Amino acid sequence: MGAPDSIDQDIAAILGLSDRRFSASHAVTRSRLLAWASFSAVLCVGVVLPGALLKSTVNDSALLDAAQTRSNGPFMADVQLAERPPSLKPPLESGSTRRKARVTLAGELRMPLWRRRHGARAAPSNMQIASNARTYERFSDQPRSINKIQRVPTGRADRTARLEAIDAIRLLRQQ
Amino acid sequence: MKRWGISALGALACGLGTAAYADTPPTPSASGSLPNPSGPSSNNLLLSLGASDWSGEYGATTETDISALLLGARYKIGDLRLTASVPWMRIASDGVVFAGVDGTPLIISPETLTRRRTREGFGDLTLGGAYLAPATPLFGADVEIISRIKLPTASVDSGLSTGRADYSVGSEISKPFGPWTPFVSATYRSFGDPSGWRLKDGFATSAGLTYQFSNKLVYQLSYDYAQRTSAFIPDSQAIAASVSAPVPSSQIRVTAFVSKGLSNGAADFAGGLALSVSL
Repeated sequence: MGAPDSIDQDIAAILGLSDRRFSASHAVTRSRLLAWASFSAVLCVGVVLPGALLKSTVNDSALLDAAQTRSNGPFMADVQLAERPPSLKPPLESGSTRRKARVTLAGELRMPLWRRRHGARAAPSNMQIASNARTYERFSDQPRSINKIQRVPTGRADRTARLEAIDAIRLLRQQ
Repeated sequence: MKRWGISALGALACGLGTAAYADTPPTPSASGSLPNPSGPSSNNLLLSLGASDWSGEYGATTETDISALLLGARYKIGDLRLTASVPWMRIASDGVVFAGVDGTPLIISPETLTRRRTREGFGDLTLGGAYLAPATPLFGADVEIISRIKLPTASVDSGLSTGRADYSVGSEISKPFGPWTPFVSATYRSFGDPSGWRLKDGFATSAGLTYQFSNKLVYQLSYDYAQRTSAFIPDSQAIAASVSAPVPSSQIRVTAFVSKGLSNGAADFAGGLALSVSL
C-alpha cells in the first residue's frame, strides 16, 4: 500500500487526526475512507429516505396506493372522509347523520352497501356528486374535476418507475 | 476533486431527503387527473451529476486511486433511451490506466516501473442507446438491447484517453416477480488499442436482484464479472449494492452505490453518489 498522499493528509486533518496518528499503524487509508463514505451514502439513500418515504406513504398515498387493495377493486381508491380530522370532515347533508362518502377515482360516488340494502337510494343524486366533488377539492387544495377517469395500472407503473431508477443507477455506475 | 466529495454529497443527500419528505397530499395535475403513483418517471429528459471513486491495488504492490465527476444525460423516446456522458477524471497510479467507456477505469497494467503519476482532466465522450423490447407474452420478461460507443474526444496527451474509440453491445433480461426483479446481462466490449498497447476484447456480465419499495425506491444487488483487458491484470469480479430514491415533491432523484472487489482485477472499493433531475 502506498504512502498516503497530501489529500489524504487533508482528510486526516479534517477528521482531527494528528500527523503522528496518521502515519502510525492506525493510518486512515484512502480505501477505508472511501468504503465508509460510500457506505454512509448508501445508508442515507437506502435507509433514511425509505423511512421518510414510508411515513409519507402512510399519510398520503393511502388515497391512491393502499386503497387499491380495498374491496372496490384495483382501479378505485376510496376516500374515507369519516377518517379525516374534524376540520376536514365533509359538510353534513340535510337530514342525514355523519356518513361515509366514497369518491372513486373514476369520478363516481358510491353509496355504502349497507345504505343500499336498507332502502336508501341506490345511486347518488347530482347534488351529492357535486357536494363530494367540493369536498375532494378541499383535500387536494386545488380545484379539479373528478369526472375524468384515471386508471392506475399497477404493473406498468412499477415497470416505469423501476426503469427510471435503473437509468439513474446506470448513469452513476456507468454500466 | 477532493476525496471527501462523496461524504459531502452523502450529507447533502441526507439533508435533501429528510427535508423533502414532508407530508404532501396527492396533487392533481393541471389537466385534472390524479398524479401517477410512479412520480416524475414519465419525464423524457434526465440529467445526472455524480461523483464516483475507485480504489485498489489491482494485484500490484502500489495503490491506484481513481476519482471521477460524471455528467450524464438520458433522453427517452418511447422505448428507446439515448444517453450521453462525459467524465472529469483524476487518476493517481504508477500503472497504465485510461478512462474507459462512460468513464469507468480501463486498467491495462496496475503497476509499471515509472513513478506514481497523477493526471486529471476530461475523459472521452460516451454515447449510448438502449431499446426496451415489449414484454414477451410467453415469459413476460423485459429484454433490453444496450449499445455504447466511446469517442476519443479527449486529448491523448492528457494520459486519460486511449485515443481510440471503444464499443460495447449487450443485452439485459429481467422479469419482475412482485417487487423483486432478477436480472442478468451480458455485454461484449471492444477496445481500441492505444499506442504501444494491445487490449483484449471480451465479455462483461452482471447478474443480480432489484427490489422495489413502495413503487418508488429501488434497491439493486449485483455480481459483476468482466474479462481482463490485458495480460497484466486478471478478470474483474465484484459485488455492488445500489439504491435510487426520488425526493418527494421534486424532480430530483438521489442515487448511490458501493462496490467491493472480489478479485485483483477489480477495485478493492468503489462508491459513488449522484443527483439527477427529470425535466
